[in-house]
Amino acid sequence: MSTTLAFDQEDPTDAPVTNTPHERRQIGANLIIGATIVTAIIAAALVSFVWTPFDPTNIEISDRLQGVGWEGHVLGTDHFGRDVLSQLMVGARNTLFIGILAVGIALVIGVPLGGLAAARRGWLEESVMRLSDVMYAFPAILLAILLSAARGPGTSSAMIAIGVAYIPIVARVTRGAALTVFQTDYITAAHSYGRGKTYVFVRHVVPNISSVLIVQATVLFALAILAEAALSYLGLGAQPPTPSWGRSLFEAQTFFRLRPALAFFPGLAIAISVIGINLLGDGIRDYLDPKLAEKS
Amino acid sequence: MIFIASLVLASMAVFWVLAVLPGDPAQRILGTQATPESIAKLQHELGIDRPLTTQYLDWVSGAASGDLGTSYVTRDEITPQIRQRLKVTVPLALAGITLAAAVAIPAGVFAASRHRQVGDTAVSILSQLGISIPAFWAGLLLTTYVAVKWGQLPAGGFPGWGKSVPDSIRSLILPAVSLAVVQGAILTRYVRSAVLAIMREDFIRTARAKGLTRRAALWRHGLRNAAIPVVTILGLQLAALLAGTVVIENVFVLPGLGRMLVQAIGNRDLLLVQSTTLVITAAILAVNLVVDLAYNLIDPRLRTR
Amino acid sequence: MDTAEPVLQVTDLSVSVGSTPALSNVSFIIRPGARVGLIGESGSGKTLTALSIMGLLPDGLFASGSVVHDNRELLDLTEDQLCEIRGDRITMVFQEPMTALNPVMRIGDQVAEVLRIHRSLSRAEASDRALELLAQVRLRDPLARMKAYPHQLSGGQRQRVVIAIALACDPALIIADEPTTALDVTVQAQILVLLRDLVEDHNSSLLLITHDLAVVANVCEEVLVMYGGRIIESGPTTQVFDSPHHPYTSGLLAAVPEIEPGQERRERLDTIRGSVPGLGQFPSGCVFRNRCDRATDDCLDDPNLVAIDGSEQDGATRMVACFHPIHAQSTEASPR
Repeated sequence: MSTTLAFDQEDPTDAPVTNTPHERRQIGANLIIGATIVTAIIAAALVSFVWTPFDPTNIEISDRLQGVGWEGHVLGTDHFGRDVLSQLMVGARNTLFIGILAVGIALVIGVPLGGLAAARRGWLEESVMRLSDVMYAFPAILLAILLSAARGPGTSSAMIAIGVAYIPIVARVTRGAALTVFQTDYITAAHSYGRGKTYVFVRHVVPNISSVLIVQATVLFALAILAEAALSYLGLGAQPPTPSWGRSLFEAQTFFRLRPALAFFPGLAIAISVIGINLLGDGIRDYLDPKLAEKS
Repeated sequence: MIFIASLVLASMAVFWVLAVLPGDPAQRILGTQATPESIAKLQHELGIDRPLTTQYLDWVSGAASGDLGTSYVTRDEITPQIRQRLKVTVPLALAGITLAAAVAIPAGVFAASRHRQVGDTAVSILSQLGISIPAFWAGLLLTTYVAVKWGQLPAGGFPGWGKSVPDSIRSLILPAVSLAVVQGAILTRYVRSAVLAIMREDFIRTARAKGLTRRAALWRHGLRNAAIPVVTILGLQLAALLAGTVVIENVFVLPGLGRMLVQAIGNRDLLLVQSTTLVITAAILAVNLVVDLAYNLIDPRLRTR
Repeated sequence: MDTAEPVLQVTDLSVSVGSTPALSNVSFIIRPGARVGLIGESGSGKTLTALSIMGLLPDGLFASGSVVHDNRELLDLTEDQLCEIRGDRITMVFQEPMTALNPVMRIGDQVAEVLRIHRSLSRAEASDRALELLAQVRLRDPLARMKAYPHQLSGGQRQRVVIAIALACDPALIIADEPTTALDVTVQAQILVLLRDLVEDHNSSLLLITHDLAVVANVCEEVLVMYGGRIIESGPTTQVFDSPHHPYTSGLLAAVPEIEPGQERRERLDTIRGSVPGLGQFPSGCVFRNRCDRATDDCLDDPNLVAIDGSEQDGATRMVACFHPIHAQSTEASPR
């Protein structure tokens, strides 16, 4: 540790990277509501590992299609007599899992790609950007469908497909943000101390564009939830018996004349999650970058 | 030129994804009980025992002349099927985007002109809700509450243009509305921020210094400039909407391209999947081409180059 | 001349940004046909003054005090009433010709538009008049330019178009906010001469906002010097520049490099001590006192802008807001 410290002091390029000072950082209503919703969903997913009101996969045909509040089933039962609330809680795991991994894939590949494009310029940048142009116009869901078709349906297919589809978006955002940082004086200074581009990118550029990336990640997370729901609805995402909000909707469709509520709750869970994450993203943006918020 | 190049690139990508990744169509069709001989025989019949390059060139040259081949499973010609299905998907997508634009553009302009007032906040909250709803859930709710409860519009199915044009239109209304809810909400936000950005431009101040009211400056000078970013988004949205029809057609049991795609995936009918995807991709690229042309119409700065 | 109604009478004009005053009790008169320079460093409140007069302050900012034009109190007018004056009686030329014109509208239409708003001209009449105006601002090949878009014109050409728009309705007053700052040096002089000549031809008055003393010396017969959101000195340009009374004006003049032929180059340019404080960081009392060599305890009070006796010339009175003016004969400023 001590050697690192001494090293830090000697190398002026290692001075802490400061963002432009923000006059007022405000925790807005967006941030509070968004964080509350997201925390609640994470909590529901975590609690579901140790406790759910009923066994979410327990099939009790005699109890099928019961209404809200029937014998302790707060949100009723589905066509197999499974408890809807328990299913939703376990489904939250699936949603969060896919969201995190899909966004993770997009960030892990997209950020270096965008950074490379910004650092090297020239033909490399040109090809990365042209490729991402083509993919940008190509809807994520279609790519996901294609990948599921090729790999066979399942959670991992959905996750990889969504993640891959978002790589060009992340690469684009990273490049745009990194370009402005690369042009600032302290980066030039860092280069003049003989630092390699990779070092400079990781050490100086990434911390400076982190707020942009965090906000972008929340946007993609919300989109990933929607995409996963659509894929599972088509039968190309999570396979039974893994509970998934999208698949619950697909199963509910057959019975919606009998029990419209069955189609209501999983969709509501999806919508609330997406709202929560979007609000959280907006809140983080407002907090990190008040100037940007001014303009919206 | 770029259009053709992108299309060729896309066809390679589609072919490559389906060819390289594991899963043998012949095995799939015949099931796990099949003997190696019968599988080899079917592979030969389908032409998938040939080298990949030959298969690709064969497929692409066929596609270029309008022949997308024969389905592995049903052994039907693919091109006429796709043509038939486009008659559902294209009107649906166009109706969806028209509806979305018809609501979103006025709503976005309205919100921007009342920046940070009650009207703006209301529009923002509504669009936030619209963005967060999965389109197919909107579809399910619409079938549940509008079609089933009121019985006014069909909850699914499609009679066919040949049978009854009014009934066919009626059966596309709810699907189009479901598509428009989400895309309209997204578009509203873009229109709003595009208009807000334009209203901060110097030339709007010039317009007001000429004696135009804020509103007149917005109408006469702002909207056409705001249209430039909005057209970009509209193009991306039409692409997203074409993909969105895949899901919505399954909600409303419409015999469109999307439903065929999902069925083909279920049947492991890879050539059909491949060809359908290519057609959708071509449509998306064509939309981008139209967007580029629209730019030139709107923005004189692009014309003189 | 003296008895003529002023084109614009500004009295105690103030604007606050939040709780910090950005413009404090600005008062001046513009007489018919006068060309008045408003000079000051960036942040001194020049543009805010212009926007207050035009009623185009950014959202959330409000002007108090009085701005009278043609016996009407502009600050009390409704938006619709203001629109009748803007572009017709009072017009504006902006700093950035590159962005001041609508990029997707033809030049001819942009000039004709202002005529169609204020004069009930037919499309063809407005177009003919626009062509005349473009010729007046000496745009080369005006007929072809009518059909051009802004991006096809250079900065100087665009500024000519903006001037044509400002002159279209023969306004009583043109406010030009740094009209040449964004232009090449060689073009600057042409545009200034054009502006000066056309203002005279159209019998308009001119309020020229600039930070460039040479521009004021060449174009304006009167000058207002602003610092910290106040006018600290005013009067006929020659008098103010020859013998400035306010230490700030004096410092400003001393900081100008003189490169006239025959004159000896000064070894070192004088500069004003310190730098312009940010908004809300000006000292109480005299806003200049923390940078002023002549400041005493008197300067803890706020000096009034008062006339200096016997200095009247063509109706323009010399005024200064300072307790210790440089070689002023008699008057001492009284505290506010």
